[in-house]
Amino acid sequence: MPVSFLHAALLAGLVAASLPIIIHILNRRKARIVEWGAMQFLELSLATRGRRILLEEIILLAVRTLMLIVLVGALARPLLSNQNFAAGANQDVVILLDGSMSMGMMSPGGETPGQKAVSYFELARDAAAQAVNKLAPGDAVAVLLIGSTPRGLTEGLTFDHHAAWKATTQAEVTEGAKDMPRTLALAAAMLNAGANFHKQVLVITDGRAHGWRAQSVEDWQALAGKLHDLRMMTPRVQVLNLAHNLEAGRHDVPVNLAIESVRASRPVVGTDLPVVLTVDVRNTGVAPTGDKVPLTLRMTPDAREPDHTELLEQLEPMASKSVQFSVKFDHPGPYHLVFRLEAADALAADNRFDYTLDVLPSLPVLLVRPDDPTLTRERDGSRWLKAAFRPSHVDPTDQKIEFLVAPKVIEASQLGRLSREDLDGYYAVVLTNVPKLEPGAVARLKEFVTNGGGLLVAPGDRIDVTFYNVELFDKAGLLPGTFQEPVDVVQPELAGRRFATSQSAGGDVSAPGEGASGADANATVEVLPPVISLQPPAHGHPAFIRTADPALWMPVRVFRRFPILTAPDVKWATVLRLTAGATDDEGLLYAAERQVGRGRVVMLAGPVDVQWSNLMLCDGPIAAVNELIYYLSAPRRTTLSLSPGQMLAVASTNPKAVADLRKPDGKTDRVGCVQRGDRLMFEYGPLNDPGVYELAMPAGTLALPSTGETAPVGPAAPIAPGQPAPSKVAAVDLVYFTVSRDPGESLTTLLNDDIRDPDSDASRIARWLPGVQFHHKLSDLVETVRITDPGREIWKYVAAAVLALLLAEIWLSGWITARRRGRGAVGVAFGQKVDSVGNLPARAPVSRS
Amino acid sequence: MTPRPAYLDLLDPESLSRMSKLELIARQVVEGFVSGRHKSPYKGFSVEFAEHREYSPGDDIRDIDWRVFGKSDRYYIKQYEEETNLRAMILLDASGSMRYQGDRKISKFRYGQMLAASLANLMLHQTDAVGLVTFDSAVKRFIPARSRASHLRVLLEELESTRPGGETSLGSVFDDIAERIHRRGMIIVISDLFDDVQRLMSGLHHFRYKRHEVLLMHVMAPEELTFPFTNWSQFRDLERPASRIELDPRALRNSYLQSVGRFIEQVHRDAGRMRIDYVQMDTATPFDKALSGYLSRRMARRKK
Repeated sequence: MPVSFLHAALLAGLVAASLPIIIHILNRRKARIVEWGAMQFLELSLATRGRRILLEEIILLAVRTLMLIVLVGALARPLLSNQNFAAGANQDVVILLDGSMSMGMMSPGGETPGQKAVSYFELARDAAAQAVNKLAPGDAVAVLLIGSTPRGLTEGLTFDHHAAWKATTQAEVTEGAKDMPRTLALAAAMLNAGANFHKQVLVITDGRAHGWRAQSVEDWQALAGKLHDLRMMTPRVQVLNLAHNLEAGRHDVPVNLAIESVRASRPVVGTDLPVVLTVDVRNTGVAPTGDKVPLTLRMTPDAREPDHTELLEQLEPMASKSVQFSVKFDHPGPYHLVFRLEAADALAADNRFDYTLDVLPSLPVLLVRPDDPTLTRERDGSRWLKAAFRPSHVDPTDQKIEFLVAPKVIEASQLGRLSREDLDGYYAVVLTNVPKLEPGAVARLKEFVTNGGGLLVAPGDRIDVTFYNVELFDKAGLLPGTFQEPVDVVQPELAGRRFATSQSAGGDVSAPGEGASGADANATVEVLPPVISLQPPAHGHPAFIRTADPALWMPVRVFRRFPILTAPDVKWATVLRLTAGATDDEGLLYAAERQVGRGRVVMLAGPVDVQWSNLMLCDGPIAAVNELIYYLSAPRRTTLSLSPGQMLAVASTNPKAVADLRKPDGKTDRVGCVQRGDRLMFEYGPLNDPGVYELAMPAGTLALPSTGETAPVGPAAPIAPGQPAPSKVAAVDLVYFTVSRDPGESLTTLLNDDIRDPDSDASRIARWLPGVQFHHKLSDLVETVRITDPGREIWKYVAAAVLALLLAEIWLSGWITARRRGRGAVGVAFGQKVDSVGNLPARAPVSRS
Repeated sequence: MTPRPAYLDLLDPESLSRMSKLELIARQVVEGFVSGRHKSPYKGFSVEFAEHREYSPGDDIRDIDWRVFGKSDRYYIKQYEEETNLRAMILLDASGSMRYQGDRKISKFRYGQMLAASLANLMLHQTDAVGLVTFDSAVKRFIPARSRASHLRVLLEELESTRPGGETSLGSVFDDIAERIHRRGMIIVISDLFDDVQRLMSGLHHFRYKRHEVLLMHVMAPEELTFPFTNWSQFRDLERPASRIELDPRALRNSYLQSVGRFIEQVHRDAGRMRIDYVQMDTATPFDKALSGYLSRRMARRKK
């Protein structure tokens, strides 16, 4: 029944046990010398009582010494280990098997001739299986596969070691990323549910620094907080670092190319214009890559031959490069694109990148015009916009010319009569010179925008400024600012405005006429050329990335505008500005954006007709209006790109519909509809593993915006490029979702697990996780898996023993003292009891002869 | 309250211990004792002729009967039957254990010395013959009993010069002494009696067998009767210096006192059985008690 101690250092206090003995010896050394005559009585007493006295002394000394020993023992918090105590002898173990993407790297051990190359994950899996085998009967074990979201390979803690072993050996590496503080918190919660006293966490990893978050104090602090909240003792944490389980210097990865991300140039892709896909590639190894590595794009995952190939130039270590593919999609529908680096490097998983996008057949947009049949063509912004979306000078019979935006024009009074479902059929709504809206229409618009719809507000001479400022800005909170009374942009007046070269006029919303008087007459001034134009802001706006060239905007002339006054408490962004030509000048606000719920609202300072500007006569702004509509429409689209841990959520039209979700690992799950508020949704998740998920549902089930003037059509089934689009492909709607990958998993930086180095990662971790141990050899871990049972804490019992000994000592010493005092304590009667001398004369009186 | 008479100081051993000369002490004691009794203990005595014996060198020439010399031309010594009241032998224990003094001013031996001197003085004043024997494990000095006043000096000098030491063997010493005292008389034993009770009683019995009267003056120090020690102590035997015992006195006190009590009880009982007068005196006991003991015995004897 071995006993160990939590605070073994306190056992140094055992020297205190010698105190009674020392006091005893000191007392003896101080013995008083008595020259004694009546020795025969002492010897006689000693002969009869000596042994008993010695025994009493020894017992008392032993009790006092024992009391001190036991007291010190209690302070050192003893742990009693006994196989008979189930709680004391067994442990709960959570094995964290690192299944993050980096574990797919091949270990250098495979380079040895005749030895099969194995990945770090295979090494880790074997180590975990051995650890499971090493557990003692009665130990409960759980195996967690570390990924973007840790996945239990066992049903919580189990006593079925064989099942745990089997599940471990069948585990596969994921493309997820690890988050060690979060995973350890999860493991702690599992351990807390276990019944055994001892808790242990085994981490088997390749020791890549990414995911340990050693520098992140907040994450580890949060873990310590969770452990504290669980009111549990910090579990014993042991880490097997496989990367260090190799010969020195061999764990550096020479070359590893990784596709970190893919970006599309436009948020909404149609068949009308080519889209540029930018692929970011990084060399995470320590050596430069080879020259001209092919980077291929396959438009379908199963395509044998790549559809596009670009050659990647040589990359230095940790350098990155972007490669662009310009792709024009001929057919609408969901696309699953696969980018692949044709390189043989350390980690194959990050050479592939799956990208999905939905090529829309059309983008329905609702244009709202005033209820005024007399409105002239010049003043009808909806007409100009419609022309911008679908130029009339192009031959409509030309099948090669395609337009994505499908506008529908209605009058303002009709807007209030549209149902919510009707409005849901559009990606964006544009108000052109609409004087005011019915109250119901405002509420409908607010709901539309909040759910991701786009709203473009173009004022004009008919608008009721008060209505916009009160109803749309103050009450509905839709507009980023308020309209002021319109002012003329008098060109000579603005041209004469003095701008201080050192002055930043950001957010200047004053009327043009105010500029001249506002400048300091004594400041260094520069008179600008008399060119008044519109420009995207100096720092750019996402809607105008493709139309940011100032030359496109130079011909634009603005003559009159509504000054926009933004409220200080509203977060807004500049979309367009009115400048006097200087590119470093913020200019006057011409268009502002505000995020409302999921949707976006852009308000312009002038109409989209030709009354106050030549905006709709210039090619640049016409292209920009299309891009702006794409930008406003983007949030309305179903989110196709998810982060690990996010839920999949797709609106459905049929409450009884059931969809099939095909996951990256090839498995398929059934997904049913649930009611969320007043909407029906397919919900699934959270989605943990990076990769592409394919949701297939009966045709017509997917709730997507209609195509406006054309018949409503859902996204079609994937169509192979070059093949004619089937008129009715299949009775299913398909949606692709991509769960993004953590590019950090491609990094090869190793964790510094030298616990002796105070600045090492291990030392930082140990501050929050005291006692964490890092092993480099499997044998070290396996040897220590079965705990040398520290046992159950018994200090309470020991403290009770101290108390008992104390009472025993008090009683014993009291008893001995009482015995020694005893009877005859005063002394022997002498001189009185026997024949008193005084009595002698009485017996024999002196005669007076 | 009646003021303490000044003569009592003359009987107090503590007060007397300041005096170094035994002679002075003896005189003080006796005078103090006598004045306390308010009567004279001195008595005349007559000398009756007993017989003649031929002179031998060393005899006092004053004792020569000149009338016989005139008739027979020979020297004859007149021998008288001394009509002394008593022939007493004082047996003073001079063994090592008598040296015990404790924290007091006088040791048991000194107390015995003073007691013996006082007794001798008193007895000689009463024309009793007094002898002295000092002993430890054997007789150290044997002075026969004489009644002459000058004999006091001999006794006092002997007492002064005696140094205690050696072991105690009362039984054999008493046997030895009993053989050497031919005439009946009184045996006054001054001792702590630290010996085996059986052997002690055997020796005393020898005296009684010789028809001596025995006055047993048992001297003990108060510490030996109360054992007041509390600290860890090393007890060294005064008779056998090599014998040492270290112990916690509190642990043995009870047992010790019981042993001492039993010993005293047994001595008392056996002494009574042998008609021995037994007087217990610790070193703080005034001397008048001792002198009274002697006188009472003497008076009793005269009555016979």
